[in-house]
Amino acid sequence: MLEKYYKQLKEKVLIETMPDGLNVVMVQKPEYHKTFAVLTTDYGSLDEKYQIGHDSPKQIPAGTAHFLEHKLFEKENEDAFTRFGQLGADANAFTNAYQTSYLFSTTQHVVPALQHLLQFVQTPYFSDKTVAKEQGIIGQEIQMYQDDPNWAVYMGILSMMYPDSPMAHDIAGTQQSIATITPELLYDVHHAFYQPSQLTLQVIGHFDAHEILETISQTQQSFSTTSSEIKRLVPNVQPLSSLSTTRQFNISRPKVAFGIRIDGKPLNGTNITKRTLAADLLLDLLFGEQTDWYQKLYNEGIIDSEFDTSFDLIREYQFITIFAETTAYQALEKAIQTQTIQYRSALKNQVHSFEQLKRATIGEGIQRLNSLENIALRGDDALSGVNLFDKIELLQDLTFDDILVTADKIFQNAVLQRFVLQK
Amino acid sequence: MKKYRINSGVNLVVLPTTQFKTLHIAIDFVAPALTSNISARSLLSYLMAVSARQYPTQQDVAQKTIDLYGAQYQTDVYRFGQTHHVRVTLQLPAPDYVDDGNDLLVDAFSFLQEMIFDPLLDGQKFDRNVFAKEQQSLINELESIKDDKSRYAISQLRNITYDVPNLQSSSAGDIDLVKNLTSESLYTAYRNMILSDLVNIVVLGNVNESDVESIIKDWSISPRRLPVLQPFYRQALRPATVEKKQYQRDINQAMLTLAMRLNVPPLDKQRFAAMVMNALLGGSPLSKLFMNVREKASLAYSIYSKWQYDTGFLLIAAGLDADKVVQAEKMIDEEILAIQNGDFEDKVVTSIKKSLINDYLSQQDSPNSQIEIAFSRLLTGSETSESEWISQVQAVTTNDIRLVAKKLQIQSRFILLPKE
Repeated sequence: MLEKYYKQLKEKVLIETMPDGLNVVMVQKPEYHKTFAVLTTDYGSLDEKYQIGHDSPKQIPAGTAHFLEHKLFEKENEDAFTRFGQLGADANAFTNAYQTSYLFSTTQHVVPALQHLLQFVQTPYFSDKTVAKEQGIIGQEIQMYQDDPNWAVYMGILSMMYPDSPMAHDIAGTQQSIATITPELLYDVHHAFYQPSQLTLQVIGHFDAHEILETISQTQQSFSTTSSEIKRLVPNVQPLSSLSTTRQFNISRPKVAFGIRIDGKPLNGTNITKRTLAADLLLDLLFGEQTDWYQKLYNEGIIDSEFDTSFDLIREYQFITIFAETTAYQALEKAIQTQTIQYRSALKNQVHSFEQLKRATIGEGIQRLNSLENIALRGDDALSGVNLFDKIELLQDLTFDDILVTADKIFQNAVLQRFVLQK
Repeated sequence: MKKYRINSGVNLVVLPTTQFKTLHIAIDFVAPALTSNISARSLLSYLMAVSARQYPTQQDVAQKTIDLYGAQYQTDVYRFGQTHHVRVTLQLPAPDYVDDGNDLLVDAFSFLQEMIFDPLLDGQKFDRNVFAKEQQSLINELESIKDDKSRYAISQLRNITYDVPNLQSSSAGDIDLVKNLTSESLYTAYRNMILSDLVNIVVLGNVNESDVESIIKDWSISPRRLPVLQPFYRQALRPATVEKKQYQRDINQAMLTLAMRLNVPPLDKQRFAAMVMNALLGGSPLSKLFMNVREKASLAYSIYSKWQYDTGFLLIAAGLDADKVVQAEKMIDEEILAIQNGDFEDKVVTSIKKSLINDYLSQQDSPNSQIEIAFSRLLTGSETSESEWISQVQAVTTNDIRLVAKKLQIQSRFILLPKE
């Protein structure tokens, strides 16, 4: 077992790989009452095509990862939730672009809850009947999202930046795409992406590490240990669709999203997290509440506290999104455009601001560590293998030069796209 | 829970702990919720978030929270029964976890003192520019309630459910009343809040109780006569159900919302049975509404019930296809009837109790939950120990659940439907 200490944060991470390839990560928090456990596969909605060994490539319909997540809870005789309920554990699951996670939190009976988590995720049961029923339920979920204007704006700008790509597809898919899902397809996908070597189990909270490892080791013996190599096939990025799109929607004030797509070689490992940390600070330096830029627009009533910026680096996709609610979106676009063109002069003499923001961002990172859920899920574990504690340490090492280098990568040749949702 | 009486109507609770890596300071201003003051108090929470004499602009406030190592400074409004709360909170990293954090505690308290007690004024009124901007922000926020159909449906349901006007509007205020406010009238509301509200303060973290007590004493919060507060509201039974339907463009799904009267006396032991009954009906993933209406019959995507202990109502809300509204409500009625008849499994009740106890114990791992519990104890003057709470939940019988379910009486129904 590997032990990693974080002295200043007073944290310790225990890491073990089981004989079948399952990765186990544990953080003990003896003063806590709860234990939080998450079993994750880094299979998400972006995975629409894959290949095992020399087999012919297989296409996966949009929305399958999320569909599979729902269906794994249903077994031949009983729902997986029922057993968690009997144990007094709160269970849930989620799917995003790059991972699917199954989790529970409990103050009692950790060991049987953990056995149940490992068992239900690794024991699929799919039938024509249950698949058909789920198509109805998820169909409604898709409609519910379509009624949400914030979701419409987010999907709107993603589709403009990445036309015809998995990134432009709703995580839940469409009613048409999920209609093509069959039990056989789900078994195939489960077989590929849920082999123990594809899974990571995180256990955070109040528990005995040896007892937990023993439990995992025994439970895993009942599953197959064959492991096959999986290749993810990624479509080429298409040219930007258009610079500006407007969609009608019955809302009180226009909602607007701006996007800047960043093309380039995919990054790996710590570089992913470093780029994200630098880009987040860069956006704060240029567009944060404490800047004159923000204050001027705020005073003119062009933006309000709904204004938000974000940098995302998800596998081969790297982009900036900026959201606002405003009727003056043309003025806002101009202001963003100006700031991104003049980024070098905007960053001049900003070393002091950078140091302050960096200190504040580290402070925010420390505050996040209160929550066991954050420790498990707010790191970049599934994207780059960098946990939340590593992230704080990487942040401490960040320099103003890193910001300048990142700014050149992002803003040289930047193309700003705009999506508006309004009446 | 130890309560320090700083002055008449001014209380402090300190919760020392090393479990967390944060320090929390929360201040609650409590007054009777009146139609005439809710909107002003809501706008005050906006002004206090972005401006003070020492920090005139939002930029200055933002810069100060950066200086406080990324502190989260927030203001908000709540309603509990017929009391209205303006709450100011500051969360920051615990001084022991940051470099040079020695002065952080003192700095944090002074910042809060300045933001609350030393506003940016222009004579006997608030600064006109700040006022105008924040008034517009609040109007925008209230208008945007409509954009979230679930929030909107529930706000409409509330409007037709309560007999008293002060419970009908949002705790964030009413658009027309916000529009009528002036920087003068808002200053009057501010003076009222600062001088007459009940003030409850909760501090949580690795702190020394007497240090905190002496800092708060230095704030010199004046003594006040305790306002008459009614944390609990109970409404008489209506002769007939009030119903309202509305059609909205650009939505695919309907929202069905129901308000059921559930008249459990405040602080009565029966509240534990009501809690279990609500979890069994629609308050948990093991509930009848979730398992039967959503999972088995696929009549709704989202469906839940929520027990509003403070006002004596149980809310049911479902997101569903428009052509399933009638069928879904029929099934909801059947599930309620089933509980009233004792038609539920003991093992489900056992699971639900375990889950409620798990949630309760889990609160000890969340500083915000701990603060919430302290505020609630200060407001209601009632404190239930952990062991008492757990044994009361365990003690709820099948018959208790049936009896409390029999109290459910539908009072109002609001349905939001997609317009063709």
